[in-house]
Amino acid sequence: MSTETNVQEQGYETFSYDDRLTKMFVIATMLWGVIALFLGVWIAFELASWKLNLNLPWFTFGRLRPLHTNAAIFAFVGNAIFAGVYYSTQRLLKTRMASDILGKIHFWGWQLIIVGAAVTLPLGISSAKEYAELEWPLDILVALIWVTFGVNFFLTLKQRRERHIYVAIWFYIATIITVAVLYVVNNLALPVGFMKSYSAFAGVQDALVQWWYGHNAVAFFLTTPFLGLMYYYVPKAINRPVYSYRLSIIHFWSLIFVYIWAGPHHLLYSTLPEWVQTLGMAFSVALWAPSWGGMINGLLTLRGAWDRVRKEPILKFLATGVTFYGMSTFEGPLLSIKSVNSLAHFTDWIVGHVHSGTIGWNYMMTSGMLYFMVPKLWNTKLYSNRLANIQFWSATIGLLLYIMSMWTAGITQGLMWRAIDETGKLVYPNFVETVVKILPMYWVRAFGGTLVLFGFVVLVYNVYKTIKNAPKEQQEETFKALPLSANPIDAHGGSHRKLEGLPLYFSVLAFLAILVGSVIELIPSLVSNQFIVKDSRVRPYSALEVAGRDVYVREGCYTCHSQLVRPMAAEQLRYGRVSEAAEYVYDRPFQWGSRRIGPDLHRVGKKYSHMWHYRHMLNPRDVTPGSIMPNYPWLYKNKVKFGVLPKKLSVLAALGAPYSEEEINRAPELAKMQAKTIMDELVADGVPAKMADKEIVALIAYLQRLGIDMAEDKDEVASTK
Amino acid sequence: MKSQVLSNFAWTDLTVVAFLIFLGLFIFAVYWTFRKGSKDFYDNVGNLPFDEGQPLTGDKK
Repeated sequence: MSTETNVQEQGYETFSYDDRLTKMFVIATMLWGVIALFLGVWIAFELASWKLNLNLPWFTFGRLRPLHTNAAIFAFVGNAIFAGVYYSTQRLLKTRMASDILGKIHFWGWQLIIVGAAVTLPLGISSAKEYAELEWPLDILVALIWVTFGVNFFLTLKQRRERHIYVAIWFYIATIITVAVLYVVNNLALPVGFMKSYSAFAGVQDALVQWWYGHNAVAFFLTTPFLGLMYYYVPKAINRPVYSYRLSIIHFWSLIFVYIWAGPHHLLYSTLPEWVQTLGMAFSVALWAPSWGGMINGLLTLRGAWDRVRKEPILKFLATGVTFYGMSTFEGPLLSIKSVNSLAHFTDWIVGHVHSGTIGWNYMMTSGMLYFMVPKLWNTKLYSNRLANIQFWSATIGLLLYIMSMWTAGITQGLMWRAIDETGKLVYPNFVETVVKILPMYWVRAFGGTLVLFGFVVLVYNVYKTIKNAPKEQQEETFKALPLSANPIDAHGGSHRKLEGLPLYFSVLAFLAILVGSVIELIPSLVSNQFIVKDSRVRPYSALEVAGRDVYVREGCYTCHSQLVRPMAAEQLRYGRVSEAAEYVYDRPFQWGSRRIGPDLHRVGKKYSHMWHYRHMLNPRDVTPGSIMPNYPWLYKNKVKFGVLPKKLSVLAALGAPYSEEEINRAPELAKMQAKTIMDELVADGVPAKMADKEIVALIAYLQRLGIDMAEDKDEVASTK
Repeated sequence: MKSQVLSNFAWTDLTVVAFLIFLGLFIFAVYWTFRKGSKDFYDNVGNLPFDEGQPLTGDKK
């Protein structure tokens, strides 16, 4: 006590860091890391062997893939970000987090969201927008918890004892602001019930908003926070300052300004306006510069100390992480060049690219960060450097197998899809040929993923032993520092110095930087909806088709099937007429997908008989030998919920679908009438009449409707009415 | 469809506007960070991660 009194007399303030919160996030990172990686391995094996879908709804690829991506991004990487941010922020600002209670609400709220995702996604409760599949109650919870985190963070900034806000904190600020904007806008929806909603956006607009979000989720959840962490943990681990602080400033402003523009590169050759695509491509290529500026800054921080990188596991992980950041940010712009994208899009090349980022950058950086933090947090030494090395090599070899197998699979399949012989016909007209060809690569990928998972299990064991061997009595350390008032803004300093000392203005500027790109990119496209000529032939889905579409959404069909025929000769030959914007105006959410594990479905309507679809969903191999699609036996048992259809149609009508009062009120009756017309054909083929109220009939109705509204053959259109 | 959209609003200049905004921002950021007399300042702030406050109690560092 007397020491503290003396300290106070000298003008110092005493404080301690809330490391308990950091420890909780460290544990959560490891727990969810194992689960997220296990899910990834499991679904990788499901693609290699369809039987692993187990004929059970909760285990199908379509439902588990969203769980894997959400778990990897928000549970594993999310908790790692929070652990790293809480540890570094307090130390960089020389203050405890503003509120222990807000920290606890953040922690438990976030875990609750993850548990909510783990329960709802396998049950098929999904809004079917990639990396944003959670339904509206969980979306609201995400927004609230994120705001809690933000409030605690900004209150901490306010009570800091360090005038200058270090560059890592800038990246955290950009993350907090941007993720909030992205998440709220993309998840705008009108609820139908407790766990079902329809997107506020439709078709092309929905696609643009989704990929503005999807791309920037990568940018501002998987990249900017980790760059902030890089600028803190790499210097700390090597015990020398960042190579160039000036470069870090240019890196920051260039990156956050440019990144937000690049979203449309996910929608090249789509019905999105051409200039938006070009803009997205140009800014994606421009991203090379700031990304590599950051990577070089990180790697050069290690200059002259490479011998230590060879020996110390922490540095090994961090250096590899930064290197993979460079490699994936080289590959990303390359893939955004339209001619490259025409080959790579919808193939496994993209999947390989994504994992070189998430495993190479996020997993490696997280591992390095955990090995750095855990001994410090628990006041002990790492249990085993050897185990850390085993993890490093297991993960690195696994990752290389993963990436190389996906490169091979992606390029092979992409080339097979577009191969046209001298007579102008497709060389591989049967889609499944291109699937069977790459199956060996799926086994290699699954094995590589297993090595990555094994490495992480080794990390968990290593950390567990480290914590177990730590002193039982953990005393909270007390520090002293002068208050901010004793460290006034330098009156002669430049405006940047002042800006860095004023977090509010700094945050507003960062917000403006992301807003410029968002506004220029989004608003014209949102406005463009009124310029999409409403084709009178395009009608809203019938009540039964709405029910079928909801089954399609629930089963996550978009994880394997696209609904977008691109303007290319090979696509037109394989699928039919090129997709047009007007065809999607009633699609809430849009279902363009991002990967063709199976063929595109936008022109599947009327292509096959009802019986073909009936047999296909029961056992795809009956009609397509070699198919890797799961069986969907539950669609033949579950009944269509006709009673909820008036509510669904009225919500869609509120969003702009031109349903009449009668169509809404008589929706169940009209749906049953349409089901009967489908059943008449099925019964003639030997299907029992009692199947009329089953989900399979609704799904067939939806699939048969896809892409036929603007068909040239008017009789065909009339026949669907 | 694309041509219809483009004929209805000639916003294609936005790509040029976007480029100029970014170029301006980039040049300003470079000028700002390399302005005269800022080297010492940035050298100091680069060392912030190594100043966590002075420990009073406990045996950690």
